[in-house]
Amino acid sequence: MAEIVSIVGTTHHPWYHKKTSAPEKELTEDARNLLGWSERVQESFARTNPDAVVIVASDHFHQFFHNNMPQFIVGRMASYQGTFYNEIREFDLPRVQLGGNRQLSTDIIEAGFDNGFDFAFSDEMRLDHACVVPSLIAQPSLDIPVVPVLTNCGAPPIPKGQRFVDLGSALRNAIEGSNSVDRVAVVFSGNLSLEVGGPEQMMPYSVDPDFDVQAMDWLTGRDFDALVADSTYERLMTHGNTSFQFLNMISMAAMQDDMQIVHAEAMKRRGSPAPCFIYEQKSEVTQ
Amino acid sequence: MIDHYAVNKFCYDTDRNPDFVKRYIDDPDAYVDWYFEERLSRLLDNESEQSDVQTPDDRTRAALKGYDFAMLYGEGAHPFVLWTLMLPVIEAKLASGEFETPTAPDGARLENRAPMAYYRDRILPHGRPYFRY
Repeated sequence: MAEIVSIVGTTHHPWYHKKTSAPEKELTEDARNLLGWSERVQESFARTNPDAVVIVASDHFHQFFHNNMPQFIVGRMASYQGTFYNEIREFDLPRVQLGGNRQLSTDIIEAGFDNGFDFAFSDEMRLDHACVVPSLIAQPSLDIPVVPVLTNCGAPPIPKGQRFVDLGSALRNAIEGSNSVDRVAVVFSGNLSLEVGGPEQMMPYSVDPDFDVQAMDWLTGRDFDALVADSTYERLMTHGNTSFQFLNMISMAAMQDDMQIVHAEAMKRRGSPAPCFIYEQKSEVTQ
Repeated sequence: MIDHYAVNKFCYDTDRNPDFVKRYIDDPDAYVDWYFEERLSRLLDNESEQSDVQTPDDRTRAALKGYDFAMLYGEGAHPFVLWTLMLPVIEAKLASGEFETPTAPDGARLENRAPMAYYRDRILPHGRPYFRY
């Protein structure tokens, strides 16, 4: 049976590669913070040594659209190409290739039936920056195979907060029931308050600093009543028109079980801060 | 009110194809007419089948031809797909001098600064519209 050895909650800031690839002398404060975060996650991966990474993230209208929009979909491929032409155009993201694990994908889909989730699946999935950037942060060599679980956090109607609580538990059960791997890291890709294509998108301050602080408290304290209450369309829109990807962070908190938070930070940057979480098993922490 | 699905489909389907984006920048009148006739009328990802999506009215057609993203935004076009398509359009039009270079707000982020400022100036009166269509 597989065990979850590491849980990471991270930004998928699309300019990550461009910002952090600048010459040392030209690195901005944001870039240095992002590189520090990457080092921290890589150290966790080195300690916990996962042999597969499940990535919970949201497609940004690159592969899925309103003509056929899955709420929760699992990739089931032996390998995945990452990014799309318009992300290269806009963000200078590199094209990447990630290995997959079809058996773990299938195990998660089948276990979903017993855990309240009839996952859609795709044998032809391409990953956008929501999966690519966390992979570059956590494992720049891209050696560890991944299983993408994409959530609809962009196309209303969007599932309610309680479904994301349930998703965290369902994925834990599914992964722990699999015999296809031994050690699994789960990376949750999302944000706190955020706006894209709205009036606050280029501003130097957070879209909703009060929410950022509250959300960090709710996540670390596992206050699911507050998290669910604040996760309606109407409430999330008050935190920015792209704050819906915060829902993936709720699944992260729901997956914690008896693991320990070893890092929880709202990383300051120009704009809204970025959520940075690492959970490990208690035995790993005390080693 | 705009037809939200049709406008969002136009934005999504155009932005994912570099040739379509170029045609929309170079000749929006011809491209929008062609799109409505040849692609909006077909199922996404299955061009051999007819779609039941209705052709939008002349007002929506004119807004897409005139890059009137502020109207589309204000009436609830999806803010993500609208911005993502308008970004390369605004970039190209700023570069050609067809659009006037805007002044960015103090402290604004550097990435896509000029097109973001141009976009922001025009959508600002609409705030954050409901887009749950």
